[in-house]
Amino acid sequence: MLVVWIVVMAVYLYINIYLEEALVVSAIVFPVVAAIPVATMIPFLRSVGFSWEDKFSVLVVTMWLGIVIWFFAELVWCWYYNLYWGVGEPYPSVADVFYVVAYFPIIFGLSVYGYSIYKTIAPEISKKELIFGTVLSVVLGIIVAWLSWWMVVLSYEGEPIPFVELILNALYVGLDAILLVIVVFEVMVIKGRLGRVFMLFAVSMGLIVVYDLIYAYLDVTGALFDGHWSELLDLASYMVDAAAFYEISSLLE
Amino acid sequence: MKPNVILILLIFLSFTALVNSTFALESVGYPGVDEGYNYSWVFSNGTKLELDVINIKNRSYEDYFVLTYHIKASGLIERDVYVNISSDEYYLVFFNETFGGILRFLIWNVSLLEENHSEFGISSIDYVSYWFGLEPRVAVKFDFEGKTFLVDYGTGLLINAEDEGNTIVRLLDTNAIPKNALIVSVILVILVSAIAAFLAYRSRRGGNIENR
Repeated sequence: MLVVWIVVMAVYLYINIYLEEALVVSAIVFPVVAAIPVATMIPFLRSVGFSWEDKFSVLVVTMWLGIVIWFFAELVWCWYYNLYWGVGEPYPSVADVFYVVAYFPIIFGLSVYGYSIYKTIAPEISKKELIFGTVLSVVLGIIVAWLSWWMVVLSYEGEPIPFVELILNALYVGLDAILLVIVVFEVMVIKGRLGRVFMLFAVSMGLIVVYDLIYAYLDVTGALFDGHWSELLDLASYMVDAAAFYEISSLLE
Repeated sequence: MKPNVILILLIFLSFTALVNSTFALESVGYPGVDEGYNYSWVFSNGTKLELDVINIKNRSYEDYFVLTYHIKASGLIERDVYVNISSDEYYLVFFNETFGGILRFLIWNVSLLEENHSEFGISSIDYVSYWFGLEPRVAVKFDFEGKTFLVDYGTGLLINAEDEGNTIVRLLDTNAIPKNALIVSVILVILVSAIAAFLAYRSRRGGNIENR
């Protein structure tokens, strides 16, 4: 994975120097990197299984499902729009349907797993920890949602936002905020008892939220293009997801 | 990979991405566009399009830029075109080299173009719906120097150009994107997935998960 990551970084360094190749090269790189977590999990699917009683299996399977949907989103964006039609930054597009839908299993899995651990260890959690975790996660969620929405509005420069884009923008902003609230709350309150796999997923989701913020900022400033450096954050989230799935091998007895 | 290695990588990555997103505003400019540069496309029907950049007044993203192009497309158009992409005074248009090398029209503020289109030699402007691959989309249709142009509203891609109802050139030429890029991407996805799955499979220690 480290080798792949070094290659990806070198490629991004190259395309940010030779910008005219950025669209094509990033469209090649994205599906490849998005495929890694999908493929990494396949050998473990049977071992993990799926049982509603076993919340770890719910977490892993829903995360994998979400990442598979994101992989399809990358295929549509990169192969269909970027490489077949030559369109950079297709928005709104069919790819957005996949990007948005993927949030739902991911948020569901993270919530169900976190809640099951929380229920088990609730007596050990102090009121102070609970209040601090709740306030911090909600405040962060509100800040991120507000910042993102503000940048979305700015990017339209006073023009009315088309209905489909309004719905998509609201979904992206809202779902990112919900994701952040859940992850921060669970990390702050439940902490190490969540396990390494969950922590890696949390890092991955954090990277996505940060990337979406930078994406919105770049959109406002007009500096956005396919192949921008900031995409490394999105690619890193796939690599961290792959590391999380790979980590499952250490749990196998 | 150990978690601390991942953490170091992520910190480095976040820092680079943040720094770069700030500096990109100043340094990116408009790739591929330089004064004196000549662009040339030959489309599948033999139409040749030449584009000379005569001058560029401003290249920063903040103020966008002002370009003067000389455009010559066999049987289609030949003239100097003044393009001011940021100002409220000019709203059209014209050929624009993008990152992927695709030819586009820029439609800047179409609603104002509607009001002022005669200033640009456009005799009529209309909207039509059409299919872009899998999606129903809207195109801006306008007549310019006796030719009818169809330009995608959202992407600015020139879909079609007609002369008295006959299609004389189809400028949406995806040949600008190397077709082997798609093949390379498909092969890499299969190859890397297979390697990732194989490495993961090899790391399996046996049966089911016991220590959750």
